[in-house]
Amino acid sequence: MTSPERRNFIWQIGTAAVAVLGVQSAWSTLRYARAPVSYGPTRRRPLGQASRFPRGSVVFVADAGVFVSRDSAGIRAMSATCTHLGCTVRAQADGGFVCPCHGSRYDKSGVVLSGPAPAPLPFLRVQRDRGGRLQADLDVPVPADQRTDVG
Amino acid sequence: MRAVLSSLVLHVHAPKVRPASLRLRATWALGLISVVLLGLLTMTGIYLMFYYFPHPDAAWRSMKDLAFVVPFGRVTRNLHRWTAHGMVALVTLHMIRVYLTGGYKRPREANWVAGVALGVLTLALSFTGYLLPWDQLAYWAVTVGANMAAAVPWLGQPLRLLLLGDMSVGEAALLRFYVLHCVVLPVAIFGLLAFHLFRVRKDGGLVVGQHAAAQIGTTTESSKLIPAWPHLIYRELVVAGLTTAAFLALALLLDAPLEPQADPTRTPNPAKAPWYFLGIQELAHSSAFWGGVFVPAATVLGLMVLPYLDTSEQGLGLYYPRQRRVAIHIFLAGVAFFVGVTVIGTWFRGPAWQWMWWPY
Amino acid sequence: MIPRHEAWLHWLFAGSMVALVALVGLAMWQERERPAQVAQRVIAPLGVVDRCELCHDADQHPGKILDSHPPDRFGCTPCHGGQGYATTRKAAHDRSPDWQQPLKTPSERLVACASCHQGSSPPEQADVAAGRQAFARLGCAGCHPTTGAARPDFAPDLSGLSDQVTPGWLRMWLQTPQKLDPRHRMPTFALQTDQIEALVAMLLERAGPKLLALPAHSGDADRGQQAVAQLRCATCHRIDGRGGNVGPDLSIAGSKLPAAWLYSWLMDARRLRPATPMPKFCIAEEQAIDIVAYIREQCVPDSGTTPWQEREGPVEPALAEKGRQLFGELGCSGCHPLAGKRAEVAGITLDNFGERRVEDLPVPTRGPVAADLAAWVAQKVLKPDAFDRPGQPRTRMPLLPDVSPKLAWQLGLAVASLRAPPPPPWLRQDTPAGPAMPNGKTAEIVERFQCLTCHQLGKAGGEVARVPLTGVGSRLQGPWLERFLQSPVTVRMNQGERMPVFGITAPEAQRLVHWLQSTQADARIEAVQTGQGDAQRGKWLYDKLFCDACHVLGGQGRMEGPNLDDVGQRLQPQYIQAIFELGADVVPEGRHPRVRIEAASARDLTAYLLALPAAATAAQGL
Repeated sequence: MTSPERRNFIWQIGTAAVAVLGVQSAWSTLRYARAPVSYGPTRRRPLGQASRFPRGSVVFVADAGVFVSRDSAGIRAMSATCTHLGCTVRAQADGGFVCPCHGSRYDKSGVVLSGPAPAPLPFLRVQRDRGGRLQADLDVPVPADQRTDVG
Repeated sequence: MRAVLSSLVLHVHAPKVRPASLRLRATWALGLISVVLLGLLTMTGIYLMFYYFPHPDAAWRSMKDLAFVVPFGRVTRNLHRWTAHGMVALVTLHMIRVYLTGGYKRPREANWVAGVALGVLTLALSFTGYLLPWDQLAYWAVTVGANMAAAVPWLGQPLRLLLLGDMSVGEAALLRFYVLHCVVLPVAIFGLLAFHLFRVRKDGGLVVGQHAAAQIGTTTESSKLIPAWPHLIYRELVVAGLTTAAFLALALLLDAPLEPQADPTRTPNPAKAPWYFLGIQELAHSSAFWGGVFVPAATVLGLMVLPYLDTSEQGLGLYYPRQRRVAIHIFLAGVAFFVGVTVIGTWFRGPAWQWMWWPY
Repeated sequence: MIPRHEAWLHWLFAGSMVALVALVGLAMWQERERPAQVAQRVIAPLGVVDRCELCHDADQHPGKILDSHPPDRFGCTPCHGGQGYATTRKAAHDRSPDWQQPLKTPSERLVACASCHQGSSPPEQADVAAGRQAFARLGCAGCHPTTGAARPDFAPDLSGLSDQVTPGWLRMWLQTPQKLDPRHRMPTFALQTDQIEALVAMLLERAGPKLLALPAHSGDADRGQQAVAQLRCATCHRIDGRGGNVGPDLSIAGSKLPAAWLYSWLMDARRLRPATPMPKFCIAEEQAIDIVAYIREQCVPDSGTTPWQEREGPVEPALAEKGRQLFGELGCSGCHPLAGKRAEVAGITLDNFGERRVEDLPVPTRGPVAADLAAWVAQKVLKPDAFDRPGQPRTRMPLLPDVSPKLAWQLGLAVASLRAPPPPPWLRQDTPAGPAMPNGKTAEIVERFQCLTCHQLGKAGGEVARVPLTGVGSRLQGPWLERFLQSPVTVRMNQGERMPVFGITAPEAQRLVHWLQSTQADARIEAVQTGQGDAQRGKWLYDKLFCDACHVLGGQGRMEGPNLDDVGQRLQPQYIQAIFELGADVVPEGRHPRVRIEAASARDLTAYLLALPAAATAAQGL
């Protein structure tokens, strides 16, 4: 016959294990909830061949969410995502941009003119991929005067 | 806390129970284990739903993701799969135990019928869950199953259309099976389970016959009853812990199979249903209607009307009482028949459902 | 609230809970090495999710293949096999119960290329190309119906041979055709003597069209030989090891063909066989008789065939019937028509053969077990009977003539690359090297206006229009091209109006221009470096180079070349500059002279021409 103290001790081990199990489960659940893969569009968005952007034009590439402009020095891509709450801005006839959600206005180089937007629209790095097509990197902002030479 | 717990628990159990109910060989805890497995299935099922897309393009891919990139994804899926198999087996064993001890007799007829329905729901949950991985096994097992349903006279084709939502297994069927598996059938099984447990208590707990009463001092006198807590509930906790540990160990040890992605243009040879349907498939091999519809339907109906036909009240609570030997032999013969065809279908049928002398 | 209870229950409780903690801990331990982010390439149209770059670096890929097959569009596993989803070495590379496509063998990789490149093979695929050629040359499709492979049409019609072939020759031929004609492509069927007799009886049962009566006198073999030389028979026929391949080898014809048939054939071959490529020679009876004599006497193989004999008595109908049955069973009718008709084919279809797994195919009773599909096919081709099993019917597959192990393997590659579904069309599009054909709505527009009837696009299209569409995206400016498509103007004055007014709407024009600009680029023009130029100096250069000798500008100059008044709106700057730097090479029709000037001067000229609309307007204002 086991003594009451011993029984008591075993019971405590059991309940302690239940507590540990609770912590383990919570931690595992949190880890389970974040799978380290993404099926969304990659942050590097294809823009197509350079010839798609005639000199002096501003082209909206919807799949990439950027405005691509080309001048004699090369190509640059400006994010079309409003810095306020992430809506996609629209180009205006005067060359500026306006956000349809809360009316933020930007000039043609992305500087905030009015509205709640806290920061100018960033310019993004443009590179060529192996096949010679251009791609914009949504995670890499570059200075407004940096252009990618496309010849 | 304690009040909440005890009021929850004591809605299920009477505050005081007979000591005879606590003996392991009274029930072998088969019903309890089934409930524990249902709980595990619900939990793992909810986890899996976070990563599962019910669409042919993505369903199989989510299986691969669970296996390779989701932390604990593989063990979650394994646990769900093996627990599902386990539940089918445990529910069947539970039913056999209840039959052997005469638990279906007055006043428990209604509960027996509910139990049979719960068994059918368990199989339906297995069947609908089987399609969701969208691999070759799933696709063709369900194709075979749906075509068996089509053998029902008159209603066959409409039934098949209702089940699949289309002429063949496709994205409509996948969505339907998903909704059935994750919403409709779980709600049904939990509702019916509540009724089942309620009836257990209402009908006076476990069946205990005269013999058992004489042997182990069964009585309904309240002075001889013992409190459900801790005597019963503590035991139940232990059984739940052991069951979970056993199935978790199995899930860590054995990976759930996953065949290549479903390909409607290529039928694997042989196309086999899950093991618990292979008996039916073996019977359906000789005749889609007789084997695939008549025998299963007659079995379920026969089981349901059984308590209203066999009304003798002798030998209850014992496993092999002299008074019920004929009934038990008939029943065991039926069980042996189903086990036999299942074994044949599982191991002795090869490509093109040809007889194989060597286990396949 | 410690339950007062038996000790064993406490033990079980604590034990089960500790076991659970340990098991969950084990699961957590198994998770310890999971990377924070799994890099993957998802190529949705191919159903590919590749995580190979967890360990492998695509930049280190040898060769230049990734330039034309960038991994972000093709992934890794379409070429390499293996399980792209896997994140462990073993699961990614090996076969497992839930993954049946392990890494591809080198020849499976060749097959992977070929199953997309179904048409022409790139140079790296010489083995596949050789296999496909052999597949057609050997007439495999005669027995194995295969989508895209026509049934062979080179085998002669075998109805009515009794006047044409001798039984002795036919016996020998059926045994091993190559004994009589070493270069012939007829396969060897390993026939038993009684089978040969039955086939001979069947083939010689009937006569063909009635033969001409042989003149009474006999010819002279020497004069016949001269006539054969004069008529240049060797252009099409081989004689003594030299000559063409169009007709059969004449060196062995003497043992096969009787004089009367030869004579009739020489006089009018079409009467005997309407579809023959043999021309009708206008030769005199005398000459024909001489040629017949030459062939009958001189053109007999050394291998001891019996020369032609008269018929060996009447043919037994029962034997002929047996022969007819055999003819069908052996699949002779796959290649040889009978009275213009061909029966069902004998062998299995090879469509989708590449989708099969070598494990599912029969294992040879002798020889090694093939590692991949190509090796299996090679084995079957080289030793057809290696797969025969005692107690089962023998294979009907004949032994193909003169197939080396290498050729057999090449045939295997060709067969293993037969696979459905065909590769998605976009796989071959938008490659910088070749011009892209339109798809979707653009294709509809191009189809409606039949652009390619007149315009060239890559190797397709007509040559009516002087401007090919290839590279046009780098030459013309978008807005101008849109206007031009809607209402065409004449650019080259001296050539008159060319482009019809189709009534292309603005959205259609927009779509066409977008397609041309995004796909029809000229890499040479795109590579030209543009920059600021001096328009004043450009004007000076324009005059100095006598551009007005061909071009009209502001009403001045000759209309030899295009009008330059609106060139600044019409042409892209780098194209104008490319004309000066690269000259005629980049100009359609290649008519522009190569102007040898420095890059700076080219920039100046370009600046001048680009500024022209303003200049022209200013001139008009004056």
